[in-house]
Amino acid sequence: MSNTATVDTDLLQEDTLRGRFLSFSFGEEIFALEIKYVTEIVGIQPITPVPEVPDFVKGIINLRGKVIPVIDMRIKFRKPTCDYNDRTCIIVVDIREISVGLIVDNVEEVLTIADENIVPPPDYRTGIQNRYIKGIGMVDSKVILLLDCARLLSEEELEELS
Amino acid sequence: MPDNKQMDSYIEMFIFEANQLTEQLESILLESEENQNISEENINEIFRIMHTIKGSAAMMSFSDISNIAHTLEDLFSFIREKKPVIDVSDTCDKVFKVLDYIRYQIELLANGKEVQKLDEALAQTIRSYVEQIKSNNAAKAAEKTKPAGKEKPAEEAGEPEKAAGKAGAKTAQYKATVFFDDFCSLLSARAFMVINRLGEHCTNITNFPELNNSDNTVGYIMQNGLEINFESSLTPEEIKDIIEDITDVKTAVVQLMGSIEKKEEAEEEPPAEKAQPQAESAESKEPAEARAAAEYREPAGDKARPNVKQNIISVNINKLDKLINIVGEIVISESMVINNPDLEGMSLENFSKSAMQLRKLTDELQDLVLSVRMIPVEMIFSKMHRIVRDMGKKLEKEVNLEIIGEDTEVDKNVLDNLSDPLMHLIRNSMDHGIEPRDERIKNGKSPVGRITLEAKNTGGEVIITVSDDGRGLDKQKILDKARDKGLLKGENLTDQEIFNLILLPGFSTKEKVTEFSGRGVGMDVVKQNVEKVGGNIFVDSEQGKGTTMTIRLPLTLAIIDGMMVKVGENVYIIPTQSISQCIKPSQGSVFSDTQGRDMIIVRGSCYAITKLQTLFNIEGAVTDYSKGVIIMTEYNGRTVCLFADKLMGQQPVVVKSLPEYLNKFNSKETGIGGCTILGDGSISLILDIAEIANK
Repeated sequence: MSNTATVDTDLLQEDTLRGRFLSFSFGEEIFALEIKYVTEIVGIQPITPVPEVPDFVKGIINLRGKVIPVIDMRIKFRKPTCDYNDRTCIIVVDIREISVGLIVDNVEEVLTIADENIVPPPDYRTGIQNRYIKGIGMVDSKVILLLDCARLLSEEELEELS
Repeated sequence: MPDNKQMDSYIEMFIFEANQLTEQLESILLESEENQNISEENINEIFRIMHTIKGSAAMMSFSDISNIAHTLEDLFSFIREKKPVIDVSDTCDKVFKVLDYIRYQIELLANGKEVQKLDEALAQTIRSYVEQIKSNNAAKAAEKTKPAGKEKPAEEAGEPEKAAGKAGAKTAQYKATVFFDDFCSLLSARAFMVINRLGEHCTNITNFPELNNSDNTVGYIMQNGLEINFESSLTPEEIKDIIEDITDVKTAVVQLMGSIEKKEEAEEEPPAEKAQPQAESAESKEPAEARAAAEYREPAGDKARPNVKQNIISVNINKLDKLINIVGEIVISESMVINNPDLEGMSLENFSKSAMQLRKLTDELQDLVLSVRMIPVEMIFSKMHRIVRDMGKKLEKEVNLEIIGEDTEVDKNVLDNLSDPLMHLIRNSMDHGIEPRDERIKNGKSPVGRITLEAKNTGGEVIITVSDDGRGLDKQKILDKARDKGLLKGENLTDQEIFNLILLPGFSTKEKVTEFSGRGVGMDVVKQNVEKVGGNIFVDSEQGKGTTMTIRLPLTLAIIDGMMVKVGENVYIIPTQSISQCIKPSQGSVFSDTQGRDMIIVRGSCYAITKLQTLFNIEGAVTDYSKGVIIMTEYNGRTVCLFADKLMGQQPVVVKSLPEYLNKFNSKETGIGGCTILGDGSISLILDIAEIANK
């Protein structure tokens, strides 16, 4: 667990977290999620599969005695899958007291994006991917897709299943 | 004045205390009623309980509770002193009524509601009852009681009257030093009560140290006592009594500091002047005496009622849950350290020794933590006495409740879910089971019915039975009813199956709905509650002889004994409790039926095989039956054969529920009951045999 970075949300004020995002990438695309949801980042760990769950839920992991489910973001976003390596990370997010691990290829950096540099996504919400995009940020002429964490775990998945 | 938070802690304490006292009172009353005699010891005890409730209720300004408690206190002090002839069951009835009122108020308080006004009718009944006893007694022993009878009311009204009488008298300046019991809980709250109580009689109260909740203050008061300066018209003895009346106060030293200079009074009241030096001289002896007396009294009081508070603390169950989790993690981390791959192949003699020591300690810790959550079933069994009593009176049936094995311990969570089902079973037995007196005599049974409530520990589980010697279940009636309601699925049911029909929702054989049972929401709720904590319920009955309900419960929900089985790369846990046997199938013993389902014949019976790999969609598992193992499990009389690659051994596991996020998927319905973390840190899923069997 050498690449564990714990972000202590308790100590940081809500204010100082505003406009700060943790970014990660799949190949060309860069995604980011609000840092206030992130509790920690851990390396990939042995995953215990659970039956009867959608394919993007890879199973459960043991996070220091706490059992949390992990979601493969590549499968979730319908990207071609690739094997996990030592750069693969699990971003642990805490949304409305539910902890979930997000498996991503690697974690890039913590960015500050000012409100004026964020534009709303185009109004067609058809793509699987777009549904989870809250906004599009620009940093140094790079385009960053900002994820809507709450929606990521929302009940919409149920519709998808049925 | 205390702020809200402080007030809350007083209320909490009040509720805790009052709950203890009412429980104590109830058991005394039940005992007295059974013996048809209130022993002197018990009279004292009831008096003491009422006195304490009165005191603490008054302190919290719940005047209605305090008033009614006072009336009863008065009654029992009268009974204690004058020993009138009383009707025990009638008296107990009255006290029960008051007890119920107080309980209800406490419940309201506990739920954050306001206390209700005392029902005037109840107060009136009690009061007139007290009067009646008194006048009866007076009439009986007119000669003797006359002076005493006079004395009594005077004593009753003692405090206010004296206070009133002295109102015009001189006020004096006092200094009181109050010492508290060494282990007194919530010391600052008690101190506040002292001052509050004094406020009723005294003026100009100042105290040192200032009351705040800091440890310093508490420490100071423990060591040096609480110093209070005030003015009052009462005598030092009276003040001392008032203070020492308060719970947890060990001693109070009251010193007269001098009278208040009020010119016109000072001159014209020589008697008071005279009294003062007297008081003072008495006072100088007082501290030593009082302390000696208090120390004398202390152990005596302890004997009468072992002070529960000092040995038992109440702890929030959430804290215990957390503790169990942490201990579970420690056990896991320990084995992660000891079996660390970095150490492999090294010979580390000292390390192994220390590791062994550590393992021993963690094992002990684990056992201890689990035992903390275990509570004797006595807690809920004793409640049943009351139900049997109340219903017996109402239904005019005389029933003896026999309790066996009340010291059997079960997990707190299990116990919490057991109270309602048991209550219901007892009610059912009382209402439907036990016949009316005449019918019993006609059938040659003892006129007094018997209900037996028994708990026993059989190692892995706790078995609780409720049995009565009543009329038993009528099979034909059950069958007819079930057919009427469309609950009957097959024909040719065994007796056991017929009896278990009454556990189905919407089944109630009683034609008339009574106050106690028969709404048809009974038995199925009982069943649900029992199953919620992983238990089972069975009904057995013999017509004319009685009915027995058996509840089987797991000892604890937190830890189970599990068999680890391997399927492909995954390890699953099957609760050992539900395994009946494991079979290594020989070549050819397994065959398929026409629909391609695999079967096995074991000792002449044929069972379908459930392959865990197909159930959970696992690749790379053993498919050849002769290379794997079949585990026969049993649930509710149904046998399920599971096929796995191999057995990995048996060990106790800490049960954790699956993460909340996964609840919306179907894992639970597939037969996953939870998960656990194994010694190497990996997670293993626990199978829920009940779910698999119900498929």
